[in-house]
Amino acid sequence: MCGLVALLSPAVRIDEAILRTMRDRLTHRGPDSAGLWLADHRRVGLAHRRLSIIDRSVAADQPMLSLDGELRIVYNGEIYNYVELRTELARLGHSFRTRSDTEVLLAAWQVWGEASLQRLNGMFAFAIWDQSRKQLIVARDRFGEKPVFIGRGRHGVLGVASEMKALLAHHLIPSTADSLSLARYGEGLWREDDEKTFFQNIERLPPAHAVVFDEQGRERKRWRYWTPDFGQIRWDITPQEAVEEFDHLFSASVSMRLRSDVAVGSSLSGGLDSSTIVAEIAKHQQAKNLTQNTFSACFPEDPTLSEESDIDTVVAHTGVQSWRVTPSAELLSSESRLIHWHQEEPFLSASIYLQWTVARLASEHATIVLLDGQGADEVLGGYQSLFRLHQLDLLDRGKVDDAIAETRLFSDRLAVAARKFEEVDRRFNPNVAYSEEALEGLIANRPPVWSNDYGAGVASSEPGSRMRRVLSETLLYNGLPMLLRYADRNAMAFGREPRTPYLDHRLVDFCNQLPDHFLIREGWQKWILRKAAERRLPEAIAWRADKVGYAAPLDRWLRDSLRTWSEERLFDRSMLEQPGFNIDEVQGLWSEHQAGIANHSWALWRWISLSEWNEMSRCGYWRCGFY
Amino acid sequence: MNNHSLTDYFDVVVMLTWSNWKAGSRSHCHHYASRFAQHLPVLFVQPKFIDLQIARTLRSSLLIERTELEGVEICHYDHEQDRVAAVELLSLLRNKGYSRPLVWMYNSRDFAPLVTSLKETGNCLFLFQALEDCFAPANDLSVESASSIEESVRRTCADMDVIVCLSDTIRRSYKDNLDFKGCVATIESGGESQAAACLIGNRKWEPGKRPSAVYHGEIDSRVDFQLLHEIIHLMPDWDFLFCGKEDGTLSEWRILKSHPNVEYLGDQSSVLVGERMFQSTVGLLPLVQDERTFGSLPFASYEYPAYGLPVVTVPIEALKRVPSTFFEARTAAEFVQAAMEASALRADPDVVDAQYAIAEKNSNDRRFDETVRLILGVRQMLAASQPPLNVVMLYDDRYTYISTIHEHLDSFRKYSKNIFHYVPATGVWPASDDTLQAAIDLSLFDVVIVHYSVRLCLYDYFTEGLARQVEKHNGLKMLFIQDEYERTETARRWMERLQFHIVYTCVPESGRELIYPSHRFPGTEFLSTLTGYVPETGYLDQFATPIEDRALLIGYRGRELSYIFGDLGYEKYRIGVDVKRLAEEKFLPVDIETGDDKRIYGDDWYRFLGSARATLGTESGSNVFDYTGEVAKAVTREKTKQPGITFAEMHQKVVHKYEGPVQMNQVSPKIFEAIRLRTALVLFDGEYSGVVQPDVHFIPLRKDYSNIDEVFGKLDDLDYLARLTDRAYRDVIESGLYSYRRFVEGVDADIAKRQMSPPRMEIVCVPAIGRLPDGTNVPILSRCGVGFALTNRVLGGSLQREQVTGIIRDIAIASDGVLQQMPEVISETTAVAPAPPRLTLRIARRFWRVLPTFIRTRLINKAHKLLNHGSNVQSTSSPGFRLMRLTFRALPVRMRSKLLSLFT
Repeated sequence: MCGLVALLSPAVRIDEAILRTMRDRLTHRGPDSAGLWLADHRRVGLAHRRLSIIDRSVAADQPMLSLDGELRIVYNGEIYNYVELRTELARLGHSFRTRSDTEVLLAAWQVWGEASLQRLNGMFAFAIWDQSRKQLIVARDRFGEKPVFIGRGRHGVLGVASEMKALLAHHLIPSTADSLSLARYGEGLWREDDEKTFFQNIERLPPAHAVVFDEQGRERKRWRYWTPDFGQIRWDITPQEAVEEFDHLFSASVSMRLRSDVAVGSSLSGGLDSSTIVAEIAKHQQAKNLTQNTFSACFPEDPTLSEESDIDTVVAHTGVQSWRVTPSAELLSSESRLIHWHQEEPFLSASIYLQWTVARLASEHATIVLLDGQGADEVLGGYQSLFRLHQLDLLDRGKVDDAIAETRLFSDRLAVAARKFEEVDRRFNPNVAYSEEALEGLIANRPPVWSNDYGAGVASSEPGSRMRRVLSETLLYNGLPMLLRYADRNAMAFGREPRTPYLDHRLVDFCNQLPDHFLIREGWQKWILRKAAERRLPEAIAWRADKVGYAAPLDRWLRDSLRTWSEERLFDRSMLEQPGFNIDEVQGLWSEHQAGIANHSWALWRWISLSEWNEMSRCGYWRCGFY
Repeated sequence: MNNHSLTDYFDVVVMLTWSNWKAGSRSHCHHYASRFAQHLPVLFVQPKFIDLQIARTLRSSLLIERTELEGVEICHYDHEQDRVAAVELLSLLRNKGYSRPLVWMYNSRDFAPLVTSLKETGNCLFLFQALEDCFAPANDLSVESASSIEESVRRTCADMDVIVCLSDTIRRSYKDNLDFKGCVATIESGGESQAAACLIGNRKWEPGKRPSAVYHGEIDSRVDFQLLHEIIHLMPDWDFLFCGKEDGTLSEWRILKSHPNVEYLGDQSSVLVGERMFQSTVGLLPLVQDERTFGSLPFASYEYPAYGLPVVTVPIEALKRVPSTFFEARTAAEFVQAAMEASALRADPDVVDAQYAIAEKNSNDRRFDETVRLILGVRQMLAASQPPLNVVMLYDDRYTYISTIHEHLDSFRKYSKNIFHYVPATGVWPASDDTLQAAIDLSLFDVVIVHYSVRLCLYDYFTEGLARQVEKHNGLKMLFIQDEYERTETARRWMERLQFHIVYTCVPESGRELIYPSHRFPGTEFLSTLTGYVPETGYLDQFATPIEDRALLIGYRGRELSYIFGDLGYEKYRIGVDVKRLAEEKFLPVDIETGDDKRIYGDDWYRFLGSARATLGTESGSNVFDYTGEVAKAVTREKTKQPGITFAEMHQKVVHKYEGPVQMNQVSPKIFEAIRLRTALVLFDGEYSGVVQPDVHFIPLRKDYSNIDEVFGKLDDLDYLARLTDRAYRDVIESGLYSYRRFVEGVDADIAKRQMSPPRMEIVCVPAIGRLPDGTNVPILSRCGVGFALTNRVLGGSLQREQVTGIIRDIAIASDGVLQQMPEVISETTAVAPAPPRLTLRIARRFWRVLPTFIRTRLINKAHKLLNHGSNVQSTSSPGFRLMRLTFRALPVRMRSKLLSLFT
């Protein structure tokens, strides 16, 4: 896991100092070593900060040059199947100087060119300078686990970097806020679902995309190299077959993600997704007599949100070493700028802070690689709200009895789970499903299919495919990419590498082919995962219904420790100029929240975060850096 | 003999051409570009239509391409969006770090807005290369084309500093046809004798099977094809070689090419062409015979003798000087005759050697040297004759009550050889940014200076409308900046936006790259300055009591600054507290205070300082760089958490990690004040910007006070003190090194170094306000008639009284609405940060406030009566009151207003 910079400057020679400054804005991503290459004419430059994980020798440092001296690469991520690719390439006559996946990636590009992208199993963002063709190739992994941004500046300057802060260190790339993005954010429509960022001259390369630039920085080609197929459904697969295949793919994914020359641990929230991973890793590591470190954020004084008892259960069952942290409001306020500095754009939820504290905890215990459960909800339909769409889909397909039966099981189970918690609404919504009465009304009259106007890869938007459509949008556009941004930045702030077994593309392709009733069955969401999990975890975890999002008690914090701090930001003079900001409306939300009439913590945080970001922009953090 | 080189005056050559670099390796501009590139980078600007592939694909206004020649870049220029392209090119030059271009113009037609913009920068030398006589009739050009070119040349030349002509005929024509006051010189084109010599080596020419004649040059409508046809018919035994860029559309050329004894070598590289030329028998210059040709000098003329070739040419004045090489012919028969005669000489080694000598004497290398000498001469001449420039200083008028700020600003008016104008550039003006932007046209001025009183460390301090004007100003822009450790990034962003050419900074050179990285400010030169200089006030010396009369050992006032300023800020306070304690322990007579309420202002301060044998001092500034305001926030946060926090605690918790790495410690203006009053300085160890030296000019005090007894001892030694203070006075004050006069002379020199052009305009001033010696303002702006013609210039010539009065009248009418708003402007401006009243006024006010309310009420009533001019008051008032009123009225207006302001 690393930080990369590629720079084309056709008109103005690249000053080595500027390339170094850009590179070192990413030191947190790659604290182990740094490299830099400038073409003789100083119009092309590559720079890299390295977090050494596979082949930690100097030989594997970057920028790395191909054997024939034609290609140079800077790369961030892991190619998990590098062992298999290396064998294949060696068979084709390619020799290697290192044990690194970087060299394998470079060789793959040399041998297979664009087609190599299809062969990569991993998370990656890379830039390759092809000396003979005088072109720069940039590519990003399938789901956008690893970030890559493209900045355009004056006089044809084109920069590519893992984080925008590196690009903004270049004086010819303006740090002007993008008014359209600000407006979308203000209207509550900010989803990070396209190329736009909060900076006018910087775009994010969408996941599963590659692009080619010529020496003048002109874009010559851009294409999507992988598109999931939500239309090919394997209706003939039996539950037993599905579970077996899922189990196999999941196990293989975890196994591949354990490839590392440094310590591997995991983030354990206590929920189903991360617990299953922890158990799977434990299986692998016990065989090697290794102890797994797990890292969790807990709120012992807030039992409604805390999952400490579930964590205890998993820890007891798997024998892992558990490390825990209790995030505090005070620290959030004092670290807010730093978190925003790393996130680079305002963010919609303060629960990011939990990830932040977990990443720091891992760094305190020298665990560099962290496997986590990101992606499971998007791939396997884990979000509670999806159940409603499933209900409608069943009605669409005329399966009224199934809809009623599923509803009964789902709602009864939630009702039982709800009894365990005070103020259960803070944890989950026990009434999220349509009631049986409501279903009767919906048999004749259902709402239209809800969908956004997205391009490639999404499932068709037709009755009976509502959940599939939303899942596909969430996976590819308006859900997962943003969550992956949060995860990457939080982990990288502390030089940690998050790996996500649920996003192995073979596993995802398989799940996309499953009929809906393998995702939600007998009132259980993520049914297929639970079936796989029950082989590894106690029933209390595998079949728990009291799911809680990764949530911080922001509602309470805003009423006590963060009250003044939040107020200063919410009602800062600069906010009046923000599109969509209605001071009376926000004042109303604030008063209701303070009075305990409602929980507006999400709505309020959106503005708090924007205010913080605005102030940072105004003070010049993006050009100057964070001191 | 000129000892200077091109790099002394220029940092880039910008060639504005008609040519395609890739196709024109034998063009005049190509030769010059490649030679310049050995000294300076060359930007070879060509309109996009020159390169058809570029013309089709160019999407931006500029495209830069590297060439095979190190130091030369092609700049494809979209002349169709010339204004955008001009702005872009200026920005490009700046971002490449070029600030002193030599602009070499070939193309008079496609770069007008660019030339205007470059001209406005004031730092370019413009040279027009006249390759032909555009004023002479040309047979191959339509009347429209000829007159369009002539017009563009006329327009372009008006902006030039030098015109270089290819021949004397062209020079005469330009002199005759243009009203050009600058230098017009002839520098003929030469040949590549060096390259030819290398190619030929020791070889002797051997006649081929058939004699051959060669033409080398552009094959276009300037070639007389009819004449060539006839020659070729008359010389069937000869071969005819042509090389150069062809105009394929010419039918005569196509026919000519079809002759069996004609060979077209193409537009090949110099080596191939050279070889064929060497093998040839004679050279030919069969051009259209018109005035233009006669007055010109074909670019490749001296290429022929470089290969030992005699040349038969149509009459060309410049070649008549070398009849041994250039044989003149008009008709085909004459050409044949001359070719025969010339061919007889081709094999004669002496004649060939003579040809080589002629080529060497007329080589491009020699021509280039000649050109460089010319350019340097013109540049020096322009520098020597630079008239005063118009400079506008943008400042904050609300802080001029601080004497160092006032003196700094006023020093330019007093000492500069340039003409200074001042505009307040802060505060709230009752106008939109757009209106304000339009209200003052800064482009009138040659130089814009932003003064340090306009605090760029604040986001919205600088009035936006004026900032926009500064932003778009193409001329020299300068900034004086202080307190650069405060919100450094905000100031840097201002600098990036306003694009200063010179920044006078207090950051020492050692730390400059860290604070102002050169890659971020490629077009900005950072020069050192001090925060203040020796105070100018004339009567200051009267406060300097003789040393033997000074009973007070140490006099000092310092105060506790915000903890954010770190160790250096705290030292001002610490030195006071600690030395006071140490002195009191020894019962020494000192007057040291560190409370805010003990500060002394105005003349009282000088009186105090001049009455003590010594004062204390530390280096000023702060080594805590708070780039984004983060440190200030952290300090405030800690202070809120723990209101009684000490400096040491705060430093440990927050500030210490920001101390250094740039050492900003400088000499403060207070040091100059003390030296001027011959008060000895007891200073903490430090560098003090190199102005004063320990034990030479000041008594050093260790920061742990371990030598305090020694210091006290020295303060008891009056002879020592007299010697010390005399030396300091002599070295610092009398030397003039740190005087405002010397400072301004330095700034003037910096301007002169960067400003090549004469003033953009003469600014004629019409007086508006007179200032009486007592400070009273008298309106003197005339309201009509002859008063309008009251100016600081003798009227006459192009400035007649009717014009002046007319302009003033029109302005008065147009700005009536604006003038109505003037009181608002003043009050709003003042409301933002009113200048603190003088000390006497503040004391009087304090005294007034302690009076019981009933007394104040009575006095206010009396004051109101004093103001009242009604007759009824007169009749009812007591004699005492009437006397008071009479006395009051006898007071000067200024004093009356001040007294009244006490009660309001």
